[in-house]
Amino acid sequence: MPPTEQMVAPALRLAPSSRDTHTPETYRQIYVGLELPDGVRPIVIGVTSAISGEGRTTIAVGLARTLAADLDVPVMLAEVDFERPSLAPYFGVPPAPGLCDVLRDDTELDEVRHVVSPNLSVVTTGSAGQDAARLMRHLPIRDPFHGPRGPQGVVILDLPPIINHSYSPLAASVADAIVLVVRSGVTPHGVVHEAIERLGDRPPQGVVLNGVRTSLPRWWPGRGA
Amino acid sequence: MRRYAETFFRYWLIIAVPIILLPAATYAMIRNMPKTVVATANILVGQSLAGPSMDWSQWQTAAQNEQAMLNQLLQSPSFDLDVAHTSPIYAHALDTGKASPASVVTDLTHNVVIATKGPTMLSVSYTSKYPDVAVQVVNSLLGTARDEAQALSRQQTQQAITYYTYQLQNAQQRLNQSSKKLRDYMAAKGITSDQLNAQIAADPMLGTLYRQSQADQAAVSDAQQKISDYRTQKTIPANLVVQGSFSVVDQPSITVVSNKKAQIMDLVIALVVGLLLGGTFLIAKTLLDRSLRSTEEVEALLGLPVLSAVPYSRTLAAQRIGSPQIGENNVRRRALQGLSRTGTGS
Repeated sequence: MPPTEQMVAPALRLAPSSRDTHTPETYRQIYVGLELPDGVRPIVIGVTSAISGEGRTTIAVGLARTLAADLDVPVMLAEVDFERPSLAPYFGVPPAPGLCDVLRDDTELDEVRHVVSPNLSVVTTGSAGQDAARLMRHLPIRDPFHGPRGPQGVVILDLPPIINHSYSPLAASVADAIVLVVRSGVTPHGVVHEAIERLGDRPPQGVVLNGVRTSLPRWWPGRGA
Repeated sequence: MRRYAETFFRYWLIIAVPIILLPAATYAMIRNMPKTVVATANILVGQSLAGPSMDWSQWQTAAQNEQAMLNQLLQSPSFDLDVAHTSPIYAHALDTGKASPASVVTDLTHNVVIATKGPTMLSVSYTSKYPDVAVQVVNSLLGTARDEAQALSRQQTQQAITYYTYQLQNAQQRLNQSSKKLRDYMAAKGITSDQLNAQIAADPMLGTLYRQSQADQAAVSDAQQKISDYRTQKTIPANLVVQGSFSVVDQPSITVVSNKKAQIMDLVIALVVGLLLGGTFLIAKTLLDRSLRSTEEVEALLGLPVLSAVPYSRTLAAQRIGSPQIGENNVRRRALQGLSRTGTGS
């Protein structure tokens, strides 16, 4: 069943979110900076990080919002972090059914899409239960995003952190391009290195440095660099 | 350099704490510390009635002899303890256990200075943090030295009397023998006492015996005179005897020792230590910070392009989607947990 206007979550009609204080330009830079394959539909962009708490979901949501506003194609934000789902309360949509139910063949991807704005739909994790790891492992095999019955346009995947989840690199393999979020001034670069190594032959196309701030005074030469 | 500057401006308050607090604490300590004072008394050294036996060396002045004697007395623990016990404040400290006998000896040995100020003048100084103690110690020192000198003088006088009594006995015996020889010779030659002076020139033997007798008589008289002198000295009151040894010209007076140089040095040392502590913190904090902070660092260390740099937002930090508020330590802990869970971490 295609998403209808009635399925638009009431909370998300208030746009843009008061939580997101970043300008859309911040997220446009991410999209523009990616080298995306030609002719592939949909384009699946995975947003991940080395560990949890780096602002991965925030970046994914901001990117999805900005692309939905900028592009003429539909944008879908899918939550793949089965162990720590967070999009449902944020967008005010029911947590289940979701992607886990799709992976169990209980339902179709279209059935679990929640339209939250005219050009943006959200897929929550659904009920992962005890099967989170198994479903994560099945994700690249089933790959509900690429295929004849897959979505059109752009899909943003909110992937689980790489170090914290063993199957995270496997889940990341469904993405056409991977963006690695690094929290500035917090994540040790050794941990980020480890995460990149785990991605193997599918390294991230670029890094989003999140929470950049400087303690240098305004008069300091090169402060803005 | 930029990272050090970042660390400095991020933690400037912590870095400034030792740099400001240490000199401030040192300054407060210097202000509250009692000032060092010196009590100095000048004494005039005179010739002792005990005579030449009191002189330690004929090649030194009276002041030098007295200085040597006082210095030697100071080396004696019993003398130092006597000084301490006659100084009320010091005695109280000893009685209450605030000062130990060993510390008294060390204190007096180090802080009493006896210096010559001429052939017969000495200055006796004691350095202390407390003016009352300083004055008391100098007075006690001089008093105890007087007592010691008095005891020594009496002992020497008694020894001299004993010595000259023995000398007198010997001289008396020699006089008796020489007088007997002279009388026997005169009887043998039939010389009367009236003819003695006339016969001395004519009889050399008689002259020799006569002169020997006269010399022995002089020795007896001399010994008797000496004994009489020393007996007289023994009867002189003690204070008069000691006044002959030394007298206090200037009572102990207090002067404050200026130790500004030492205080400034203390402040400089505190400042340097503060700077070192602050600098050590800055360097350690910078070197231990393994996080990525700028786009240049990301590109250099990871070899990946930075697609976007999202500025820090206090609102977002407070209302993070999906994750509870976390601190840096939590992030590191989670990273380690993740590494260990997957078997690659240490």
